[in-house]
Amino acid sequence: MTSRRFQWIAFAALLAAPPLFFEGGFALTLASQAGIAIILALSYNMLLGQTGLLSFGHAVYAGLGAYAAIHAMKLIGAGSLPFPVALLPLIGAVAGGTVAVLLGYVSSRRGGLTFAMISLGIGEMVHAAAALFPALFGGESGITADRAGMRVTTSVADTVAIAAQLGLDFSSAHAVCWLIAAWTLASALAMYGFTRTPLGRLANAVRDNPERAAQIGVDPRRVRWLVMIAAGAFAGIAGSLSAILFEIVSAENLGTPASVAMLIAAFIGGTGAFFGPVAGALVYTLMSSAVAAVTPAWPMYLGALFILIVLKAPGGLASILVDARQSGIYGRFGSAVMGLSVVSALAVLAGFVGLVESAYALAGSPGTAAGWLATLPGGRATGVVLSAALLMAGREIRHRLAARRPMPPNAAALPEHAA
Amino acid sequence: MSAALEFRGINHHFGHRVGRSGAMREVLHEINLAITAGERHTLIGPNGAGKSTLFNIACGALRPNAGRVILNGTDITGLAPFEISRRGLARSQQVTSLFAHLSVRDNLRCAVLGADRRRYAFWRPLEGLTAVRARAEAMAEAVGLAAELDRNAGELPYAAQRALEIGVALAGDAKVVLIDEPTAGMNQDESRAMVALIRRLTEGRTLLLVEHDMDVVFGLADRVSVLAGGALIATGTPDEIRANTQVRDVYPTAEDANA
Repeated sequence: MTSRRFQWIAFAALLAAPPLFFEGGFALTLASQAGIAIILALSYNMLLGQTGLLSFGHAVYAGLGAYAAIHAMKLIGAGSLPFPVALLPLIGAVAGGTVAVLLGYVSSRRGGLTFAMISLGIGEMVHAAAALFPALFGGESGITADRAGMRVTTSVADTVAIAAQLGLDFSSAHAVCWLIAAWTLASALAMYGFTRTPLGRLANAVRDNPERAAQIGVDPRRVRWLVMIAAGAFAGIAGSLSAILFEIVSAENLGTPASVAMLIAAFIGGTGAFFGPVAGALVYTLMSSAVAAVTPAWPMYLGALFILIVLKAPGGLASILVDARQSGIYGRFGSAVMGLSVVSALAVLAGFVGLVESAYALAGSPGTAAGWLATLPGGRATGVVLSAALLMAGREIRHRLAARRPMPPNAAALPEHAA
Repeated sequence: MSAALEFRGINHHFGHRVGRSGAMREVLHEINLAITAGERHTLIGPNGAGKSTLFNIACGALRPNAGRVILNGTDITGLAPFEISRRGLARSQQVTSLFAHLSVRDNLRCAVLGADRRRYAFWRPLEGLTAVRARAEAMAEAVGLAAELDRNAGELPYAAQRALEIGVALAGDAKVVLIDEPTAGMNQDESRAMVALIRRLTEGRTLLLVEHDMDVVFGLADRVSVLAGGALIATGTPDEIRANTQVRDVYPTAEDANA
């Protein structure tokens, strides 16, 4: 219980730190994007981790929530809608939830592969439909609005609107970062609360065994539907925040790549633990912004990380932490084997990065690291050879270490009641 | 004596008729069977006799090609499994079927919730439903799992999973209970414990049981029905069934059991 409370305090501190310590710039944008990604990954995990629904269409709810918010922003800016900007995410939540009422009705009948395929189809259909209505979706260029414009007062009605905005000025990135941090914390708390309700627990039951759930009086379809509505509403909140942050929404926000980004973030972090997707969202945001700033190869690294997690730690980063604690690995820090293991892992990583960067440089889009490789004596060729050597050597060391490791005691024992 | 569960003219086959001579395997033929309220009724028969199919029809997993299923005087044919469950018919599976990643407590709590009007509540914490928790824990106690409340169902030993299976079926307080081969794969001690458990927990309920172990069948049942080749060939008290020559032909083990 106390550990749970500590996690929430740490989470709140993490959200508050960037706007507390930075006035503007890259760090604030990064923090704002991270907050939005956290809400998206957590809401995605209501489906995947808690209800066992693999969705390729969750961006539909976030995107339509974002569109609802940006249209509301335009109306507020024009002075025709007296609504506080700070509460715009509520409009997104209603939009996302309402769309989920409709689409969830269609797709909640079955779980498993059927649900995944239907979600993919719906995502594609909504994305295609957006192109049909340029007035609503803005066509290629999207819909834009101006946060700063919302403060101009010219009439009595506008003064009412400003009063409704509680005196907050969202023209600065700093204020927006605070706004996003507050909504992220509130959304995360609400989603955590959801996991501890009767519906939240029955969602787990439907995930584990829908046939059995039906036999005890639970309608799996109804449970999936209700969870989809809740998850859609939270996605709508995230979408509205992105509308406020970027002041633009385009059909890209609705597409399958946006849905897949949520899947990747949630899975990397870990779908089995509540805070897992938070870690995944942070990793994803760092990759897509900080890493992307130094290399065009960042999707390569993200993909490699994703595959590594799928193969080696399907419980995600969260499970790695838990396993490390349980196996007492922390006590072995500083031992020779541990040191060798870390060094060899870094060698594999450096070798892999070196090869990828060399390949990108060869193809004509060099990142920062490719510049360093080019300064080596012998140039690019040396970089490739060195990287390959590092990769192979690191792999070899890890291979030998693994062969030496004793079997864990419980893995060797026969399971009870083995036939 | 009124019937708690009644099968009327149930016919069922698998596969599709292709043309006039297509393969269509008849699994159940004209099943008429009334389970009296409060009795323990056992269904026996060789493998493939159609016992599990009849169970699947009763609980709504399968829809019969013809015939009706009547629960406490209401026609439940064609209702969804969750609707039939809410009308007071519970089922335990032959193959253990639990919520593997949920604790024993939550497995039972979900089963209690399934029969509760607040099952889909998302505005109140689950922990706040103290009666639900108390019922779940009482059921854990009843099936001998009070010490395992926080353990995940998937991690339990086989016999404990079988006991939890019965607990999940009964936690919703259904009055009519279908149990499919509860002692399959158990040793004698475990089997005896399971029979005692079922006897205790089905007190005051109507039980329809599929079982192969004749000691269990004749020890527990008020009446026995014999299913062979998709047809009901006999229904009667254990003594009548033992004496029935037709039953001995299709089910020789019936005479081996000495009550």
